[in-house]
Amino acid sequence: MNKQIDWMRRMLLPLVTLLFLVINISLGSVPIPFSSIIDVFIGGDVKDSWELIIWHFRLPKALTALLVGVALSVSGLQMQTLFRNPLAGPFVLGISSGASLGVALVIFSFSIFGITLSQIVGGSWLMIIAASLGASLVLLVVLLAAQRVKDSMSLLIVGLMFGSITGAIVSVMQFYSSDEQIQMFLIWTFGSLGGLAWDELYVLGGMVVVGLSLNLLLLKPLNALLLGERYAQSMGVNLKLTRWLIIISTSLLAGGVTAFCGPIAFVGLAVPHMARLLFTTSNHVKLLPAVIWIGAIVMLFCDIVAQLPGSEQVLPINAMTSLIGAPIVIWIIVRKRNMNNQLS
Amino acid sequence: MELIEDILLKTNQLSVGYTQKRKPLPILSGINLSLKRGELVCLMGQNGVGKSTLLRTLSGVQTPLEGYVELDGENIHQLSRIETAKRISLVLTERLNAGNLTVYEVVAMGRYPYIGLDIRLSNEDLDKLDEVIELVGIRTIVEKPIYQLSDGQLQKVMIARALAQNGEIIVLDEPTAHLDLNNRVSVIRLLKSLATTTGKLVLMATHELDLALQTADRLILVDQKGGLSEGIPEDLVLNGTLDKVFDLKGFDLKTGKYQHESGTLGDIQLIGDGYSYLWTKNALERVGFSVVDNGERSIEVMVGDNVIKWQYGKKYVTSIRDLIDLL
Repeated sequence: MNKQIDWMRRMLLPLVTLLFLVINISLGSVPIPFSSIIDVFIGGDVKDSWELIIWHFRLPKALTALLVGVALSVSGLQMQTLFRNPLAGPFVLGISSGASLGVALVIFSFSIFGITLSQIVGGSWLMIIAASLGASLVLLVVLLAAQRVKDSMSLLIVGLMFGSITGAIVSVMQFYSSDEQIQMFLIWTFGSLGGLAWDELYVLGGMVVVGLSLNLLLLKPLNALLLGERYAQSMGVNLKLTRWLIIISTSLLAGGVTAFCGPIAFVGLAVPHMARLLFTTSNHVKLLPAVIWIGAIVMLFCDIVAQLPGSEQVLPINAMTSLIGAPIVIWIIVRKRNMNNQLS
Repeated sequence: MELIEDILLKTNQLSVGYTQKRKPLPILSGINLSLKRGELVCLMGQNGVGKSTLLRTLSGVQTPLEGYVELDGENIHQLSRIETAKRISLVLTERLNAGNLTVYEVVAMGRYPYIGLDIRLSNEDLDKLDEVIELVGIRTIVEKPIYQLSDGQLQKVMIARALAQNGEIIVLDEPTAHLDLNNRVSVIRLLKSLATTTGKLVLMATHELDLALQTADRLILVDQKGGLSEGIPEDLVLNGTLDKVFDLKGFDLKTGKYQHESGTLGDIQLIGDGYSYLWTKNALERVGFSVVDNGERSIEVMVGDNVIKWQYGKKYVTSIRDLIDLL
């Protein structure tokens, strides 16, 4: 049984990820034959427009999906372990609410000067910076709170409170804004995997790599935290440092994703559960790779479905993740039945 | 004879408690204790007297308000985090919800202070794990996930984890709290034998008066007013300290029995010996008779081959129930 699971983890998950990556790139509003796609990569003779589509649209989008899936899932895993709460996810510390506040401020305040964002050069970077600043601001306050409060549970509540405050401010701003601006903000909240240029992708990729590397340092403390904070402390774990590292890692992972792609719900919450249930383990050494691969697979899959193969429509990714992910989790729970024991 | 080198944990005018608004709020103070290697020490007292605070301070988690704790001559609060972890291990009451970890994975966490961030166990670590698994007797369940264990098994696993940490002291906070009688006895026996065989100091807070009296090498009692008394169990029973601390009502520690309201149903003389006598006496006292040397009524317990008979007046009965009915 264990060997089987090991085999599955080592071989199957990367293969499925690769498969989904290929499918993801193959599908889109413009039908491109598979052989031509391969030609694009091996430098064969292909129509220029097709090459452009692959290199500048489909590949960045697929890679974005992959990074987003990995980042959110890993960050969700850390949050669930830190807070010992199965409902925790990457955004419990108020990252997405902070980001939405930043974006809302930019979109709505520009209306005061009578400018629409799309008219500004570098508008996408402006949104990214606004989201990052908003997320950082909220995180900074949460970090200050983390210095003062003793237990992680209080930290969770502080994070949730900030979510409420920023949500309220955004509501007030929406109340005084034009339909056009509200729609623009709404579109941002739908999330989007497309539209990242390569330079943006590099920045996001860098953030994800650093965030993941921090996780490699955190495997031991995260495992120790499974027994509770007091046990962890008695085994020599530096709780404060661990909490800081987890917060920093999550701000890079979830903050980066939110800044570039908008809020993307559910993946961060659901994937750790999928990994735990599929591999029947809570051990982070085994769980982390599983979460990384499953996160990538789920996000690539959601993106494939969101593109509505064969049509030119694209559904909002933020809705797709919940629409696809929730039934999967319910299905796994019903099959395994003893969910309660599996949660960490 | 107390040899100096046998003393492992020593406190000097220790005062434990909390600081509120920069003002110290001592719960227990003036504590001077010397605890030896290889001893099972039970810390007892009613709820809320500060046992846990004392335990936390003794294990180096909480800083004392005054005085200091010495571990083998070193001030515990000056040890590094890892050093403390290598010398003191804890077993707590809190429920784990790490359901999917296997027993082995949990026990292996005991080695965390010794290994790097990549959680790679050396041969030495593996040997140690093997040793403690054998010692605690959980070999048959090592591959099981935690959520399948009974409370008793789980407590043994946590004790094994503490042993794997290889400290000189194991501190346990009410290790028998959720257990049934059978498991309580087996956990305490395990701790007792561990103290003896490994030479570690086993320090536990417990409410199990009867078990503590029979197994502990030493008791530390905390009374309601924050006073501390310490000694071997038998002394504390005989000099009445235990009665005072626990404010025992109707339980006679010297005989180890619950004291019944005597004499409501009259006196009875009981003739006999051995267990049959003892249990008959118990039953009579429980229902409200006083057993005396010379009573108007008398009962004789007669033990034959495999049968016990009770004679009351001219009647014979074959069970205590019938005897009580008769009376």
